[in-house]
Amino acid sequence: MSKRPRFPIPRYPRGWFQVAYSDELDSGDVMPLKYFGVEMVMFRTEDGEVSVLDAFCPHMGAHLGHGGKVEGGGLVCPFHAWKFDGSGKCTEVPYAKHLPRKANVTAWPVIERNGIIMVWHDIEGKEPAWDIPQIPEWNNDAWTPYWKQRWKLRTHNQDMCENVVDKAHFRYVHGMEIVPQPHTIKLEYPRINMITDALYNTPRGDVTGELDVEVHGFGFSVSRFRGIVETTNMASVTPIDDEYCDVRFSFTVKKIGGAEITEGVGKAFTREIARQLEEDAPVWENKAFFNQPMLCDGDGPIADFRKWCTHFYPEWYHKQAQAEYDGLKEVSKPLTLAERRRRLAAA
Amino acid sequence: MMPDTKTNPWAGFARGWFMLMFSEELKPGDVVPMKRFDQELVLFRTESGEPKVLDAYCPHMGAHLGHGGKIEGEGIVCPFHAWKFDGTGKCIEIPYAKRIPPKAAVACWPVMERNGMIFVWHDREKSQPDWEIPALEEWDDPEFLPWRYAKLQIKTPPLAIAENLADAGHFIPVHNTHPVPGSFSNTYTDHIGQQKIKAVAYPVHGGKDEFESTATYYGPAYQVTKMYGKGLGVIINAHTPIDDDNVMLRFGVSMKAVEGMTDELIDHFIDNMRDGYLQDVQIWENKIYLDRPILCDGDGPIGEFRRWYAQFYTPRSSAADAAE
Repeated sequence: MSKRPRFPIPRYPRGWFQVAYSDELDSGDVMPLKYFGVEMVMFRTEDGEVSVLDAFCPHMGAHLGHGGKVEGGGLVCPFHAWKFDGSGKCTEVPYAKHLPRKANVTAWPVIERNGIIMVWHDIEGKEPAWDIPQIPEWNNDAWTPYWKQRWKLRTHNQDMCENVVDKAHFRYVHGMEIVPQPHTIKLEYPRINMITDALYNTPRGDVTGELDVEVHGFGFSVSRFRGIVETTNMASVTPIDDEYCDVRFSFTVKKIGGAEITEGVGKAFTREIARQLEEDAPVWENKAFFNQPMLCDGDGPIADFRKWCTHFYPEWYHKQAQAEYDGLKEVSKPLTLAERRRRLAAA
Repeated sequence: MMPDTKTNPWAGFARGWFMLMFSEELKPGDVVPMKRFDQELVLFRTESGEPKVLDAYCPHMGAHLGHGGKIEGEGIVCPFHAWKFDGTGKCIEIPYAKRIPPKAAVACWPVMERNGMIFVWHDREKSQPDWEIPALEEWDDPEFLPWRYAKLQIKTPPLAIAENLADAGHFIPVHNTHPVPGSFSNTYTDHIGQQKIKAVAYPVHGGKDEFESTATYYGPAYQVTKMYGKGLGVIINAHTPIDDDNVMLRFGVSMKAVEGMTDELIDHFIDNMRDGYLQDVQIWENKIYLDRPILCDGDGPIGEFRRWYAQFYTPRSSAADAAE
């Protein structure tokens, strides 16, 4: 029996997705990656440029990420020393007189920003349609370096993102005293902005604050907690394959008093947010996705959110995902990314 | 009439009572996620002690009630948004909403707890049960030793297990158990199928047991075997499909404590039981299904068994049509 997908929605949305932190990849480093169900290779040239390519050498199929070496501005295959530049073009075959004209691998659009390396994914291979902003807290003396946390979760980008607008769950999963009531919710593809007032009971009395969440597609969001301390969390979710997502949280805290106090407060906050994610995880990992959830009057704007979500996938991809979920046999297998790009280039 | 042979006649899952757990595995307040009949279920016991089985997914946002759901009184509370469902599957509380959507409910499965076991009624057509699991007099007989339980996941379709009932030919090659010639018989009445046999067993752990046994299936998946040998042994075998390829088999064993019976003898009997099963399991996990097996004169009534067993796979609507 062939395995049916867990979700009736497309698996791989369009957008920018983190694949690594900048400090994980020095000049000359080569790293194999697997995201979107695709084997990839990432490398940093001697000039510091990061490139991400499909992993397999078009010659004899070696994985460029396992034994490939950086030479100047290119990556050399471990098998027969074919050399590829950052655009994926083969620039040298040391033992051949002529380069085969079509000798190249697919390159992924890459940005390196906020200490994070991201790739652009689009199931049709189209170029990036929006940008990721510079985060002022990053590389800022008034703010701490990132505290990083990482999880591998059996979930879906869209299903996880739905949490942002699902205000009721904050009370029942995370034990908040009330269901939070955001005063601003803006859903404009590809972004969401949501601001919620918060009230903190402290030994010195009540402190008002706010939570400001900025979503940039399904791969990246920035949450700013203001009030007692200022903390920012960069959350990234990258689909690994049909089952799992790679989830990274990067916290930074605005320095207050001495380094020790900042660290104490920051770590406590980091732990609290991480705890919240771990409360969500068992729900996400086991839940179903209903196209028609049975909503009640106290729920957040789930229907508006679902509408916003549809923009991240082309229409045919929606249909294909639903048909595969329904177990319809005539559904064709999804094309590989490289195939899609070839067709797009040909068209 | 045999079902159409061009497609798998045993596709889907049978109608009847299926054991989910032994009672002692589920205490008041326990919530257990379970995949059976290729569906996600949640099994729980309320504070007053009632076992309940519901479809697993909350109709609200799809959370699995079995992963983090909590028992409150007679209901189960969803881990995601605290919607509360009673034992019939109806949503009875949403703590943050003014009104409950009238259709907010999950499907509820008929449940029966008997003989220290929890059974669920499965029917693709969602009919209500029309027979019951009979009380087992040995179950709470003080002369019987405390029951011992085991479970085993097996990669086989359920037919392979149930068909043993009619399989006279496998005793010698698989179990080194030698039936007394002419002693093997099957009778099939309504949902009950019964095998009688007299035999001499040379079990895995040595020795020689002469015994007479009656093995009775009540429906497609629950079997009680009574073995009269050195003592009276009772064996429960219940298998429940997980998906198209796997079943969960649970078995329970007890013996009548006759004078002179030592712990050693009981352990010996139970070990033989378990390992006797493992001999079958090895065959089950690797065999294929033949719609038209080549049978010989020493085989049991495989065809008769399959005709009896087919009733559990025949939709009631078409069974009624056929009777007309």
